[in-house]
Amino acid sequence: MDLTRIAMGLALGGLTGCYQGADVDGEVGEGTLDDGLDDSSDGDDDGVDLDACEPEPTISAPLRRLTASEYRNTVLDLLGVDASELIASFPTDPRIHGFDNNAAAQAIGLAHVSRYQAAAEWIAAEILDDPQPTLGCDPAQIACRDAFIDQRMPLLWRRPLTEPERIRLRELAESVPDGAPRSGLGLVIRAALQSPHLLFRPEPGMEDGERTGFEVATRLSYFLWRSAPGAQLHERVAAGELDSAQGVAEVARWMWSDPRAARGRAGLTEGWLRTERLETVVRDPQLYPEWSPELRTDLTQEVVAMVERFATGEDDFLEVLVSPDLTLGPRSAPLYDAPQTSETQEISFDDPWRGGVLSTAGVLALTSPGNVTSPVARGVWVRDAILCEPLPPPPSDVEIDPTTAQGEDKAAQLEAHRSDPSCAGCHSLVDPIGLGLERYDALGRLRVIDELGQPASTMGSVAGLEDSEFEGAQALGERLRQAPQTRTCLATQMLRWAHGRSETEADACVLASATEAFEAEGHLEDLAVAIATMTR
Amino acid sequence: MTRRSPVISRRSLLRGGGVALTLPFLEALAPRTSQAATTAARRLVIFHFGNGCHIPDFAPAQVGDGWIPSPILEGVAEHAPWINVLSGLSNEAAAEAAAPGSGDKHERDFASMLTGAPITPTGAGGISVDQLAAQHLPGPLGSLVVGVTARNHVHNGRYSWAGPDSPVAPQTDPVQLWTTLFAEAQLDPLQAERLAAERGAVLDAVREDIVDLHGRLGSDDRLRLDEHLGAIEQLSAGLGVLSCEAPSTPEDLALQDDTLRPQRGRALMDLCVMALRCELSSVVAFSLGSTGGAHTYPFLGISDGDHDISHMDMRIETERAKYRDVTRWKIEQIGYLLEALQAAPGSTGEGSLLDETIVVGLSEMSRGGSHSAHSLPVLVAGGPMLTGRHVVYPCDPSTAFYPGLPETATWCSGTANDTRLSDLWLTVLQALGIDTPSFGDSRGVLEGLWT
Repeated sequence: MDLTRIAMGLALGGLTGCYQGADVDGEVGEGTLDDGLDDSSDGDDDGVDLDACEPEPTISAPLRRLTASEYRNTVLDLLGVDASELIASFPTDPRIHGFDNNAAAQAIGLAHVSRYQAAAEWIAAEILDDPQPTLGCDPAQIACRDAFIDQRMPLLWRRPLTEPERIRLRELAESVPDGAPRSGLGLVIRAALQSPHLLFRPEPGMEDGERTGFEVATRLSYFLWRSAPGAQLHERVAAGELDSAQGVAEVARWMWSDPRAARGRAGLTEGWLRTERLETVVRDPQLYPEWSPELRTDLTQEVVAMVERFATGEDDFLEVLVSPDLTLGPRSAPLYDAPQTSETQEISFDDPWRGGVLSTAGVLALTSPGNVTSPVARGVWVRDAILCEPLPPPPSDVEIDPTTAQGEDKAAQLEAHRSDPSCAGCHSLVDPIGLGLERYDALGRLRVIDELGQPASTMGSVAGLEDSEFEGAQALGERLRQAPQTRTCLATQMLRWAHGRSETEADACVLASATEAFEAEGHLEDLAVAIATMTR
Repeated sequence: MTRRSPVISRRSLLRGGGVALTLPFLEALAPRTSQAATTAARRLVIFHFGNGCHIPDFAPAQVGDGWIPSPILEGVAEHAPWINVLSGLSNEAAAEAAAPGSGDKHERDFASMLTGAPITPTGAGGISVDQLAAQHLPGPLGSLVVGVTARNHVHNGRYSWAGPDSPVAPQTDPVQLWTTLFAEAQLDPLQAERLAAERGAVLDAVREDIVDLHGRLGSDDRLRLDEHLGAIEQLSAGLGVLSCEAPSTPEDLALQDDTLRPQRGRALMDLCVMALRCELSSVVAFSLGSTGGAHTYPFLGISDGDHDISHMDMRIETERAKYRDVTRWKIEQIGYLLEALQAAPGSTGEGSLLDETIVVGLSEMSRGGSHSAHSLPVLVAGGPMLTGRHVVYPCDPSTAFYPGLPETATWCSGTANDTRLSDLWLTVLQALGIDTPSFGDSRGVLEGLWT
């Protein structure tokens, strides 16, 4: 079996040929991953072949900087200070593939360092104003400062400090004009938080050919926890637990079960399902009077909560695409004609139109860029997020407004649009998917009549899948769950999140093996552990 | 170990000198060419507005001197003598297809607008014109990148690029921008001295860490460390000399509220002009709103999002009117900026800041419905230039989308004969005294502007 061919074809090939109306039936969905690597080759009882692939090749990518979310969590976990309000003013981390942690976009400029300076000064003041919870000692004592340098700094910089570094920090503390240890400690905290050792995730170990245990721990923790490793993980590093693949796998499983892992999974969901788009969705208040920032929060949370439930449960994770149990927020419940409550509630629907994450108001709203639903945008989202089959943008200067095409209803308009051969190649891949979701409005409510006053279309199909036709989001979820490229795509999305970069051809082996590890039990944990382990 | 001794910044001596920036009312506006003729261009301000416009409502019907404002250009009617309208410029770089999944048409138009090079899957095709200009012009802060709104993807939230993988984050909040530029000027001398000493010591320590790390990492990683060091230098510059009186704190304008967007935009423009006056920077890259942005216009009584408006059906008068009205408002903001530059004194003591500053106003696309980057709407002003003209650059005409377009505003078809936006950027760079033979996909300079 040629794993490389499969991974490349499914995850990396894209649909570049659709301009010319390429026959997609021949391009995708041919391979299965069942006949893969020998499960028992290393005796691992989880069925993951930890040594199936070469270690991650050195891939040219710039140094990774902490995202605003990572910075927030790091400060909260290591110093006990919640700086969320200040961090909200950090420049947004530009997203690539929906993820906020892609190193290619993590430039640093004046807008960043001026905010880092403000945050560091505020955090230092907070700690010195109320030192007990964070420091547990009196900052007027030099011993308190030295304890910070000796014990807290290695957590902040995520590795032991060198002796020259400790000396320099003490000298910085002593340079304050008033000579007071308290002010000196303030400078140390400020310098620690603005240092590249904190703001970036340098891996000098790679210069010697292998990451150190602390560097591996840092990779794991920002991948799985969206935060720094912290004291417990540092102890495991010091005990040598991250020195073997087996050890990394065990630590990764322990981390997956830690409450902090919900943050990492939320970060994955932002990019995988593009919930981040809800941040910028707006609705005309005249057409959607229920629209509010609080509703936006609910819409995000209901998607994140559903992913979280299946990521940590015993069922096949891809049940998330079909499960009738949805999590509704206090403000989003009316969108489902469910009773409004003051709390989040879980409701089991007995309705083919409600089931699976694709039927959540969150997904249906984030796939509607404007006030009017767009079958094109919804189809593009399914191709891009679930199948990893991104479409090329339309050719230059093509009139893209389907509403200007002739036709009584949306289906007819889109069909007229597709009569142009330069449009048909790609649009035949996306329009029919979105047309099967027209029964949901731009806030995910069920409807019978669409914005044009026409009966909303109900039938959809996903070109390229074996069983392509569907009616409603749950049926679409079922088709997608059966498709092998959905699983390879999920692995690709996990890899993007774990490594903070786009996939390359060199990732083919890891993607294929990770997909196989996932398929054994359908547990998202196995996928995460496989990627963490094979690329330590 | 060396440590810098505390510096008493000039700003701290200017305590209490902060006065609100008030722009004198201009009684008469006349063509500025005679006044400006002897002044060299030494600054650059780029003003971007998102989501294009309906070109038939934009392009003046006359070519040459004395253009009569179109419905959209009514927004700068009183400033018409200061402005040249440029028709027929196309950003060819935006037309080139990027890899699948890496940039929709908005993103290709926007992220290549100032580089003249096609985007890459994760970044830009090269350095942007504002960043290149800032490398050659004085001012410790480099190009001041300021945006009223910024979206959150690399290709739709970033337009200024220090390099292909170095998107520059725009400053979006007036209070934060003021803090960066001027806050220390508001402290009393003792406080200021102490803060300067502390910050200087901390930033020195950060510098040492950067240098330390630099030697231990590979060349790819050093890109970010170089950026970090450069940004620290810019931040440290704030500890030094300020050659002007700082303005007082701007009002805190809530970021998420569209009703205050005009005030926020003007507060940011005021601060940009002050930064130029104070010689903190020679280049401003200002964006009134990201491409594809969904911001609304409650202050115009329009509740549709900007992007939705740009896709409306131009055959329906009420929809066309919305696109026209929001674009006219955007153009009015260019007028505000020009007045602010005209009201500020130039650095030579004679003339105004506008005399010394090249201003380019443009959108990343022409028509929203097709996201075309051909026949872009472009205005230029400032510097030593004959103004008050509508200049039409040659291209191969097409009537595919605009049967009603005025003859003076040819719809360019995207062939090799089109005049390129990069040619304008090259012209700007050379007018600023920057000796470069080309920029992006440029093919030559545009005649009759700052020459």
